[in-house]
Amino acid sequence: MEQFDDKDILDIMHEDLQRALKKERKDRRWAMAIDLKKCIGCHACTTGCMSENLTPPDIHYRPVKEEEIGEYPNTSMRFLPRPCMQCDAPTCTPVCPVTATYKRDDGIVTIDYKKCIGCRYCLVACPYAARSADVGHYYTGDFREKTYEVENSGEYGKTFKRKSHWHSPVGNARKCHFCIHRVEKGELTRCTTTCLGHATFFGDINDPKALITKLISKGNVIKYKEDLGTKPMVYYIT
Amino acid sequence: MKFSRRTFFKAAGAATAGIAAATSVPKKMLSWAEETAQKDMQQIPTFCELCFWNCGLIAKVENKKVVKIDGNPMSLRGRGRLCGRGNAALGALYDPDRLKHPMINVGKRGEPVWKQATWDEALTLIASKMKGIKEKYGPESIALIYHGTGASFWKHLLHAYGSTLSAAPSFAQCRGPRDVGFYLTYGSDVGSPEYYDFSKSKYIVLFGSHLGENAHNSQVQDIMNGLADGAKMTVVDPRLSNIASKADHWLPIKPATDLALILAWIRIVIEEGLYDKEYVAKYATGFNELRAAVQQYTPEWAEAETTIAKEMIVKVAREMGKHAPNICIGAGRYTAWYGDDVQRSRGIAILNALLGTWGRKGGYFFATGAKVPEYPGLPAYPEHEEVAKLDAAYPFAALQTTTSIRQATINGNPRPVKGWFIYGSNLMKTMPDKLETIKAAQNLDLLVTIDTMPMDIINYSDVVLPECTYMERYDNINVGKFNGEAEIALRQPTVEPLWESKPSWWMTKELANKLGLAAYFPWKDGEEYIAKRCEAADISFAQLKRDGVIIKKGGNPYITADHQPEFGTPSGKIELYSTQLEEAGFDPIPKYTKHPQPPQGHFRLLFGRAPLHTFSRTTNNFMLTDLQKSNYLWLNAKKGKEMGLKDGDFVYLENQDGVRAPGKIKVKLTQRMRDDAVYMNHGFGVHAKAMSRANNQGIADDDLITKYAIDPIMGGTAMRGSFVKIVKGA
Amino acid sequence: MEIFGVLVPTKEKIVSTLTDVATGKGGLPLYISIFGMLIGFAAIASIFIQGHGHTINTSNNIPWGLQITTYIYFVLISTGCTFVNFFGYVFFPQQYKPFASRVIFLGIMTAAAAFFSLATEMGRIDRMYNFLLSPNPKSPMFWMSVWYTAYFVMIVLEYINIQTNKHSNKVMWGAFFVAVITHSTLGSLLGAVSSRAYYYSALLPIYFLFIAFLTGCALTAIVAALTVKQLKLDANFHLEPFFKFLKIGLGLAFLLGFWRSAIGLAGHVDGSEVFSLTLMNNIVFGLGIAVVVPYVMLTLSRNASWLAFTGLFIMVTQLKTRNDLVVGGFKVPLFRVYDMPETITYMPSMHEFLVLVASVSLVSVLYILCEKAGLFEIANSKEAH
Ligand SMILES: Nc1nc2c(c(=O)[nH]1)N[C@H]1C(S)=C(S)[C@@H](COP(=O)(O)OP(=O)(O)OC[C@H]3O[C@@H](n4cnc5c(=O)[nH]c(N)nc54)[C@H](O)[C@@H]3O)O[C@H]1N2
Ligand SMILES: Nc1nc2c(c(=O)[nH]1)N[C@H]1C(S)=C(S)[C@@H](COP(=O)(O)OP(=O)(O)OC[C@H]3O[C@@H](n4cnc5c(=O)[nH]c(N)nc54)[C@H](O)[C@@H]3O)O[C@H]1N2
Ligand code: SF4
Ligand code: SF4
Ligand code: SF4
Ligand code: SF4
Ligand code: SF4
Ligand SMILES: [Mo]
Repeated sequence: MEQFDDKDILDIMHEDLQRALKKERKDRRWAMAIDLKKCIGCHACTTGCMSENLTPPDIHYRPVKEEEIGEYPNTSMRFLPRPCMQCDAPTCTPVCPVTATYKRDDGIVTIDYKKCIGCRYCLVACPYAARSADVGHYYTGDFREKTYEVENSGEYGKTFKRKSHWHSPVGNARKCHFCIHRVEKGELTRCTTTCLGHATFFGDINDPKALITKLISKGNVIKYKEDLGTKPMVYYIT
Repeated sequence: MKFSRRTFFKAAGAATAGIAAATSVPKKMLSWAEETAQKDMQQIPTFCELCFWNCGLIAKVENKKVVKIDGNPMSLRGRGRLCGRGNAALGALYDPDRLKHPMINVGKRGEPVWKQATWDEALTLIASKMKGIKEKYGPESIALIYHGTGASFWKHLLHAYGSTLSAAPSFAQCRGPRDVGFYLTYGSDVGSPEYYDFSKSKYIVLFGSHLGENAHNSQVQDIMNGLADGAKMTVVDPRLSNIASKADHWLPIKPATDLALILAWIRIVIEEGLYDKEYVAKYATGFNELRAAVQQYTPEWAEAETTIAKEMIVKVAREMGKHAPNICIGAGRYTAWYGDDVQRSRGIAILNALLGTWGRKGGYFFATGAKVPEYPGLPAYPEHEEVAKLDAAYPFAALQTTTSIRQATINGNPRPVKGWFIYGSNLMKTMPDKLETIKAAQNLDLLVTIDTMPMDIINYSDVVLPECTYMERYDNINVGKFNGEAEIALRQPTVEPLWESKPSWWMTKELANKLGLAAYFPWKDGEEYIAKRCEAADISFAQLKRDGVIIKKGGNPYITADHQPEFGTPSGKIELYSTQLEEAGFDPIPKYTKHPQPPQGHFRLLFGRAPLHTFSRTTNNFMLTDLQKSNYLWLNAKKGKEMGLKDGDFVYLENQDGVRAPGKIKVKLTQRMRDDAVYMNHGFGVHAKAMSRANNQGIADDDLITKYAIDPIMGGTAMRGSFVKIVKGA
Repeated sequence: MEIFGVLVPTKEKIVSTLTDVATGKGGLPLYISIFGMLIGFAAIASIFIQGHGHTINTSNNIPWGLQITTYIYFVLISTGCTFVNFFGYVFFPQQYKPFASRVIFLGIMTAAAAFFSLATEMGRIDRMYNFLLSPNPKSPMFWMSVWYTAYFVMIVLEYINIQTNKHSNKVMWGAFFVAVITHSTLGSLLGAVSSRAYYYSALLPIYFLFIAFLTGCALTAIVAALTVKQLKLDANFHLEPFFKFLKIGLGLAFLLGFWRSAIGLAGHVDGSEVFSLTLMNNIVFGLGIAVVVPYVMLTLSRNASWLAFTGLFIMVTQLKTRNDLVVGGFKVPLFRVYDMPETITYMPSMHEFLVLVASVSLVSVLYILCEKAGLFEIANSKEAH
């Protein structure tokens, strides 16, 4: 492809990522860009994320909204994938009574699964509905049946097994975390690597050479519900 | 585009800290402590079977369970990506409703009473029935109806047994018309994966072909890359499909009139001199006849037929001409639409030829193949006895049609068919006119289904053999042809088969033993079979196991001075005028035929794919039903409001023959539809009770397709000729 | 300090009351309450054993449901009891005196019941210690827990004072102010959520206080009416403050209920369509049935039983109003995808209802038992001596 020097964007972003990981954590600024022109509404990112994070029924970190615009026959469509915006001024973190959710120095809004009391106040407060409560549903029966669903999702680079409702993340709030467990191992987020439209970009926007930095500096970017003052770190390219 | 081995192999090699520390803590404490460093899971590459694109995937295995999956970056079909369905592998593997044991039907076909059987019982029963059928009717009266990678072992078994009768619905119910249309024109088909050079196109035209919803992985990537690189696009579709929403022009054509548009475009391209004169002169025959034949198809006439403004028709034709030859006018894939589908596909092939897209950058590339010899040293198959051809009525049925098998099963004409092996096809939903399929099933001496799920089809079977899923088995080697590269892909087990399910290589080998055909199955197991074939092909089995795919580079995808195309047609040229068709009594140049339009109060029933489902195959997949558990009836919003319907209302559907589909369906009022047709996703409306999530969700298009046209050229079953009435009050 | 015979009934009374209960002489209301408590507790046990996934109907669309409603409902009643106690002492010292002990006792019980419901709602109640280890001073919920604790201490002090006949104005005023702060903080917990148009409003803390007053009055009015009948006190004299309080409470509820809707309707922010969606319910039920009707009822008769009935009417209608408030915030999904309906409906699960039953029964069992054991006459009788 000409626009990316005939390289697969995953290779480019992967190199960007290795560069970013050489820096100190506080010097990185993870962000995501989603090119709405390229998003084809295939929902691969949604299920990719479900599989990566072993999310239980009804919890989707990255659903894709389909919006019809106009009237037949002058109809057009917008597909809007929605990960957590990793807001710079999140409304979810201030409300957490026990600081279980907070913004890290690299921009990731984290949930400490070991601290979260499951009050769900953050679900109420996030304007993007990006948060979910894991109340302990399973697709394949139950934790007692020891299906694959009790195995480790590795979220946040830790071991979490949903072995009962006293095992996190059951009982906790959950949301997209920019696959930080992959990212810190040098892998791109799952929704980025599986995106059929090549519409999802990820990287360190503190790095001027990174593909994502170049893309979002072009000007044709919007942020979702930006007027709420949440300062999202997900950029939509239009 | 270049692909690196990237993260998958890096991650696999890199041991992370933490695991060592973690192991010094007693296991029991860990589970409560809930925190250790993340372990690296074992990574096993294989390929997907949630549809037939067969993308490479990597299973991440821990505690003998597949916990996650990822795309395999080296796979040419996926390039590290998996589609919305492919990512739901765990939903297929761990579905609690899966077939778990061999089962024998001790009741009636259609009203089964299941007896759980041992493998030995089930296979012994099958073997004895097969022997009986062979004695009474000859071996050719057993048919294999198949879809999917595992089928090759069954084909081999039946060949060894003496039957060559096999058919896939992916011919007569799917790509057949297109393949034949292109074959007649170019002497070759467009492949699967198709040889569309979308990523380099400057202009793309699609008829139907709802890419994005039709989630053929690399193809969707290609088209999106092409568009991102500035390609212009026109999509012809009565519905604003996902891809149509990305188009420069969406032409909401009146259904069943595409050929009018195509012929009008051919005329404009010729009359305005937009065609590639040099190319046509050099490679094509029959130009003058074509020119004369299309004179009648003026833009004005086409506007009246298609409802697309003549200005738009002319405009798009000129744009095509401007960007030729770097233009790809897609041939579609599911093309069994209206009964003259070969001719429509011929029209598309001819339009491509005029614009010189075949063998051109951004058009249709010449694919690079790879050879993997058959297993060495197998005994020859038994001498094939001449038997009457079932598809004699369709001179260009390049492959056997399922429909003729069904017909012969019902009436014994031209010869009896007494046994069916159905591998990976939910035939009850796949073929039009269900009653006929049931009638055929009742006429059989033996019906065996090899499946993973208790789909509708098993209820008509005598014996059900539970196959383990694609995540649990070796299958045959898979070769894919691409632009300048070929891919040899391996399917290998990532975990042990669950319950008593078994892979096809095992079932066929065991059954062969019982049939006295052991000599045809000399391999110890699936692994040895593949290893030997790799050896014969001089490729490293170890590498294949490690990487999942082996890529062979080479081949020139485009016409150049020293790479001239060859056409496998009788004339050795692109046949704009087909003497083959003429000789068989068909129109040598496509002629427009009018198709019936819906009567008052009815809508044409259109159907297609949901991005998150593959036919009925995934309707019980819990990851996918979590997002979409049913289909909807897409209805023009204005029309729907006039009818007093609201978004989300449930309705019944009744077709032109008064057949009411079981179940009800939710209305989706939309600005994306014409008002003379309704649309739904195929695959839903499953009636099998054992499919706990799928059962009774939505309405099946196949329940309403009681009438279908047959393409006289190749026997394709056209399924978009049904009209439905919306009945309120569900 | 003496506990038996002062803060709780005397040992002999406890024994004799329990013997009565055991021998079937407890009276029907008590047995119904005990039954409610038993099944309620069984349900709560089942919530903890089976987990929320199998027992609770809240979801990502409706993160908070009946348990939070119950929590808010009871917490506000508790506040209301404190208010009644305060205004009773300040404005109607004579009329109010016989009820003081009962009112504050109920204040404590309802606060406990509220916490009870909340505890069954938290995903990981076992981690509540994080309020201490890892507090977040930016969170209204954190402050709520701080004030809640303070409030609890204050009303227990007030109770001790009342029971020991050492009523202190300082403590009373303290309790009043802490109650105001605590429960306006609770109001801010919802009112500060900018993402939900239905909640986001400076009116909410005030609304909460007014509602607290109203529901506190309603419960205490019931208790007062029953007490008046039981002790054969002069109904006209002693119940007068409750009629007054209730009318004022209803008036305030009307005012804020009206303006919350009116302002919501006027604002065109994202999600404010919920105000028009719920308008009919708000007018017909929230203002009409829940406010105007009981107001009219109060003007019809001065009879003690009628007052008790009206109080009960208010209690029940306010419960639904509370649920409408909590769930209303989620009515319009913030991000509508897949099969999500345009407006979300929510039906509490059996377990959730039983948590409510448990909370109600807990209060009524303890109240009835203590009443039978003569707890609330201790202060009065002491005074008589
Ligand atoms: N997600 C997903 N992807 C799949 C599959 C799946 O099951 N799920 N199945 C795969 C298979 S086997 C196949 S064959 C392909 C099929 O996929 P395609 O080849 O893309 O199928 P079409 O029938 O061309 O596309 C359906 C579109 O055709 C439109 N259409 C209907 N009638 C007409 C008409 O008269 N004229 C025109 N121009 N358009 C019309 C419909 O509105 C709809 O948008 O999909 C493949 N990909
Ligand atoms: N009405 C209508 N009919 C159609 C179509 C349509 O759109 N509408 N589409 C047509 C097209 S394009 C096609 S290609 C055909 C497709 O027709 P089919 O191939 O019959 O379609 P599926 O519903 O995918 O059926 C797949 C069957 O294979 C089983 N299966 C899945 N995985 C495995 C496996 O690993 N091993 C075994 N042994 N079985 C497995 C599934 O459980 C299911 O029973 O249908 C055609 N028929
Ligand atoms: S999107 Fe929501 S959950 Fe994510 S950071 Fe922003 S406010 Fe928090
Ligand atoms: S649910 Fe967990 S993360 Fe969210 S606010 Fe409550 S304690 Fe904090
Ligand atoms: S970044 Fe990871 S967690 Fe977030 S949506 Fe993508 S795949 Fe899911
Ligand atoms: S995977 Fe990419 S193209 Fe597909 S829906 Fe998600 S963002 Fe859009
Ligand atoms: S296109 Fe999707 S379902 Fe089909 S093989 Fe590829 S990943 Fe699997
Ligand atoms: Mo197909």
